[in-house]
Amino acid sequence: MMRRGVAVAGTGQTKYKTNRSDVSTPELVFEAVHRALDDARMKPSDIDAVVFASAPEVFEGVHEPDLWCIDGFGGADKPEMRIHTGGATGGSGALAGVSLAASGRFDSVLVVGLQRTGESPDAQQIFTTMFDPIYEGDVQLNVITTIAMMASRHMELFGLTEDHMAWVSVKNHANATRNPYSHLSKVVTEEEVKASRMIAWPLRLLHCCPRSDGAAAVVLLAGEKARSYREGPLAWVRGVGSATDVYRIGDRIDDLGWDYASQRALWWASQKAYRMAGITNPLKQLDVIEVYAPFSNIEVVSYEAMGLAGIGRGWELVESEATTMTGEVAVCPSGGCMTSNPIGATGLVRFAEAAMQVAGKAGEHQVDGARMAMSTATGGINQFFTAAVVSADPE
Amino acid sequence: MTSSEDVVIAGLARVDFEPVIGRPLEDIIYSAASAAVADAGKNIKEIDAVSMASSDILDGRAISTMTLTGSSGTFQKSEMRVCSDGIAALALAVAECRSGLAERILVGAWSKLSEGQIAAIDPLAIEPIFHRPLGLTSSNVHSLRVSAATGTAVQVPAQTTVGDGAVAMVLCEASVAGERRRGTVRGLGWSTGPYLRPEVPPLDSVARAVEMAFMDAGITASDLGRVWTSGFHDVTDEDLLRWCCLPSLAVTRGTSGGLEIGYAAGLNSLVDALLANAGGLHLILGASGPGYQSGFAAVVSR
Repeated sequence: MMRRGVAVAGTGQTKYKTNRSDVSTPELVFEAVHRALDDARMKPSDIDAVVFASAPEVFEGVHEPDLWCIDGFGGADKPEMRIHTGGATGGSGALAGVSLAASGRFDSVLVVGLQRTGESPDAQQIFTTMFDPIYEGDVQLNVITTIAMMASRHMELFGLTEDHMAWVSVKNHANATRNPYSHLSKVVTEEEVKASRMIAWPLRLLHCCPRSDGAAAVVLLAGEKARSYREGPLAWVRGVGSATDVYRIGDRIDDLGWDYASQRALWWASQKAYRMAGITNPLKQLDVIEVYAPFSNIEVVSYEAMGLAGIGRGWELVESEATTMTGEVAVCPSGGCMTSNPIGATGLVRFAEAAMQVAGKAGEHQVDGARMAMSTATGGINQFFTAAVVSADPE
Repeated sequence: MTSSEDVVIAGLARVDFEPVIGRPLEDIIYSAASAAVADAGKNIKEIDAVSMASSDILDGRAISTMTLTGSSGTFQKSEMRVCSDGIAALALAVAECRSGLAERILVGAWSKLSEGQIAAIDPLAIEPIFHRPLGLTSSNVHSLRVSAATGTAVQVPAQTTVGDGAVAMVLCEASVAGERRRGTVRGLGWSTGPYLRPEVPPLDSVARAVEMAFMDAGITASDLGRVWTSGFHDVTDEDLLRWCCLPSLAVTRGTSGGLEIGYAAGLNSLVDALLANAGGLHLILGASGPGYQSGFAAVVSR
């Protein structure tokens, strides 16, 4: 239970591209921050504290990139801290901002997310350094191969098919065409997905996210400052959760009743957020979910981990088309992480998109009547998870 | 409401900092984390969340905390990692406690810099196109500022010897802490200054952090007993007090023996202060970034 209410007053994003070579990194951050402040109708001097979320700095090639970018986000001479939990960084940054605001210490907190994977020649070369250098360094594990193993295990145990995965890709690419910031903006067909280049079976190119440069920002208000805010609609933070899984994926096979084919730590994080928000039936009570799913199979597995379907039954929501823009719960109306993935910022993009939906600010990808939404973030190899529920209503 | 009313340090532990510890980082962290939990009279299942300070580049791999889940005790829990001095991890943990989002939080920081090349890492904090070729480093940015402020010649400090070790503590809401109380967090402050701007006075961010911590604690400098730090190797005690706008106070450099211990410095000094068996209020100072761009301050009492 949070000691005082926290709400999102403004959000800002940049256009996502493989390489935003048109701007420097501080300029990229500025682009998102000034949009968020404009959206909240606030100035940098109105901000009490700043949280900066960016994942491995080896992507940017600058140690402590927040300090280099500080003048780009108005953080100078303010309390500022950088958060990094891998791909979950943006979600963790949002939760850190919520903690600082709810603690009573700060009435307004700016959360900034950044990643420039375009500065490095190959993101996967960097990701291979995540693993234990002595025992696993030669195995050539990377994000894609470990997620492919998860997909094939889900197929073996629970009946996921390439058709289910292709449907998710088609849905998200279509949604992305209505999002002006999306990196990929092209309608694809199931046939095109299934004919696209094989990356690591069963993952084909159109099952996979791009690697994006980009930044996002969110303005949080708390307590009386939130209650008295009259400049526009607010998205109230109703529940948050965070959980971590073990590092070695072999330790997640047949452990505590779970299998590597499932995302148990997302289940733990979601359940915490649901308890706080009073959600007992997420499929019925949530209108929108912005899930952190960089690969099509991950979205199906996440349906299960978020309690929308039974474990191993996520594909039933695919077959019933329950997660389209007009379905029971719209999942990734923005196109999601499959179509834009500025890694350390991605979780904050999900949080911002969920807030935009319940505030009625999502433009062409607005889900009609959205009142309650959830966002998630994922880091490591399905190891770090966050979940946050936002609502148009404070209680 | 100030921190002193609601957050206490229920347990703490440390693997003492030495130039080289010939054990894996995972072992060092586990030793500190498990001992801190035991010192608090808790078991790991009673901990809600973990807040830690570490750097990928200093630890030597991308998302370095991935492999540290077992040793840092984060399985099934919230993990928050800050990338600056450990006092920032403490500040975030205090916020989680005060917000009602967690009751018991393990806070930790570590250094295994003996396996790194600090001379190669240090310039990576500098903007790569225009500033890095100038040879700027974290330390000589501070020297340039001192030179500008005092009108003296630039003195580039000698390279500091690095050290390994870890520190951990259990932070609790006062209502669930029980009888085990190693100390109380009375006030916290942190501030980041502009990037490389020459007109900024030396240690300006640290001074701002101190001011913020005093406000949080509801005290003034005259209430302090002693100042503690494990960093600021190129700053004399006299200059540290002067640039932080502090009166003449005793400064204790702590048990790390002048070693550079990265993000662990702030929490190491905090443990020094709480183990010193001295009453009164202690001010802990920390910093990170080029020219001490980020400053951190904590006021604690036993």
